[in-house]
Amino acid sequence: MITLCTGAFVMALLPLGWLLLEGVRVGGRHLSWDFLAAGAVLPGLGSWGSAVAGSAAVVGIAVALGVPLGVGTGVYVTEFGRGLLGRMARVVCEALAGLPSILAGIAAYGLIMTTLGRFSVPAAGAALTVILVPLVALRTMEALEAVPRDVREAALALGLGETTTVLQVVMPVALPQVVAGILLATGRIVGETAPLLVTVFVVGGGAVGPAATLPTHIYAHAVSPLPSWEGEAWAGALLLMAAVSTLHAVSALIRTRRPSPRSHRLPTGV
Amino acid sequence: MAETMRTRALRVFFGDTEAVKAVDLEIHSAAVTAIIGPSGCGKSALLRALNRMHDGVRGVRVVGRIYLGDREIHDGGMDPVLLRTQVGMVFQRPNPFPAMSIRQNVTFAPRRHGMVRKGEESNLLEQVLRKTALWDEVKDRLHHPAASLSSGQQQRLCMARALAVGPQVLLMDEPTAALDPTATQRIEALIYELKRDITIVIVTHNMQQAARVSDRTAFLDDGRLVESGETERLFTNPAEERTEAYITGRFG
Repeated sequence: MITLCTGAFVMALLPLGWLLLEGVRVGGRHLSWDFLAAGAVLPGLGSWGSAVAGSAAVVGIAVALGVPLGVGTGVYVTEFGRGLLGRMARVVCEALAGLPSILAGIAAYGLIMTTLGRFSVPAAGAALTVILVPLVALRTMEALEAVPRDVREAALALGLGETTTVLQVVMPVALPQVVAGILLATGRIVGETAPLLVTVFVVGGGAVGPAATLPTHIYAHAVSPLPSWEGEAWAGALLLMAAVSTLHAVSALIRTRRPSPRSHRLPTGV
Repeated sequence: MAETMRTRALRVFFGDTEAVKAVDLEIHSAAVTAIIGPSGCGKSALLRALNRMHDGVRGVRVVGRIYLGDREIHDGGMDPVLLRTQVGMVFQRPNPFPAMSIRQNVTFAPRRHGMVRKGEESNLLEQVLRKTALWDEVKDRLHHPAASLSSGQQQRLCMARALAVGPQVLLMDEPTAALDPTATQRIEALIYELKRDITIVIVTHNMQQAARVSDRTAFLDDGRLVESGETERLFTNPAEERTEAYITGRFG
């Protein structure tokens, strides 16, 4: 049994290990400041630097819109949504969290791009927001539900209202878990490619026009037949892996942070 | 500031189950009333009805009348939020606010209620921490997290927190069930001190505790109030056979 489990674990780890090794081996050679700054080989295709900037803009929009919406939804469902609406909101969040990301892209394409008439950063930001909101909402619900019922009762028994109880007593307890969840969800959308292919695609441009982003830039380079481009695709992948890993590491750090020594709880005593 | 409480034909339903059955209970002012009875007899359900903790809990229904002094607590004029500042509660497990310091735990509610001005907070803090015999133990670390205290200290902090909003009645739901004997003894000593100024109702499954701390005892069985009266009389000369069977340990 243990052998089987270990085997399965290794199998699962294998692709990840290979990606990392190959990224460092092939892509590492290309990584440099020049690599980020250098213009594109083809006109219209931005530099890797512009791809990083494009990704930052698109993810920035999604986080700015999606975090308040997601946290708000999570708080509503857990703390106030006792009726049908609350239960429905939870089911919808769970369904949306499993939504194939291309559908989010198509929704943004249909709603925003047909209005603006071109590939754009806001459309891509909206597509990623659609993916981010349910993830953040679910993480918020989990974090709030993990706060013991005792704590809420203590607040209610002091004559504190429900809103005060949730926002000032329960939320501060859940906050580290909520923040960790937001970072994980952000890590997920940083690498999303499908919705970006239909909203910003690969061509660089202004703030509201089409733009290069890291995932689409990797895609454009990876499908090229030129070996040097393939190397650059690996370098881009390495950047992306570094960004996602950082988000995950910080998230894990927050979640497992040990309480400071003085907050150590003694088992019994007076 | 102590106040009497009375219940009339009080029933508490959990779904279709009647957990408290037509209870008429008298709670005397500035005294300790113990509610005893076997597990699942409805004593906690009864206690929680007294400050409307069942409000808003799905599937729970409270029927009947409850008086604080001569005011009915379900009356339109009575705000459940305000009621709870007059009828406070201490729970089975110490439950200080985890994200707050010792000081904030005590001062948060009075401040929210506008009961205390900024300059007077420290006075209130010292006053209630002295009342709960916690002041000397924590005065040098008031800004430390409440979780840094031992569980016995945490429970006394919870009592201080409840007292800080100036209640007339304090409900205690098995307040020592999670504590060791030494910590239990300190809580019991506090109850004895506090009852001069405040009406206390304590639910306990520990009959020795009821005998030690209470002036009056109510015995509940299967949701019914079997018997209530002076603690000494009830333990030495119970009127009901069922009471005698319980206190002599023949069931429960």
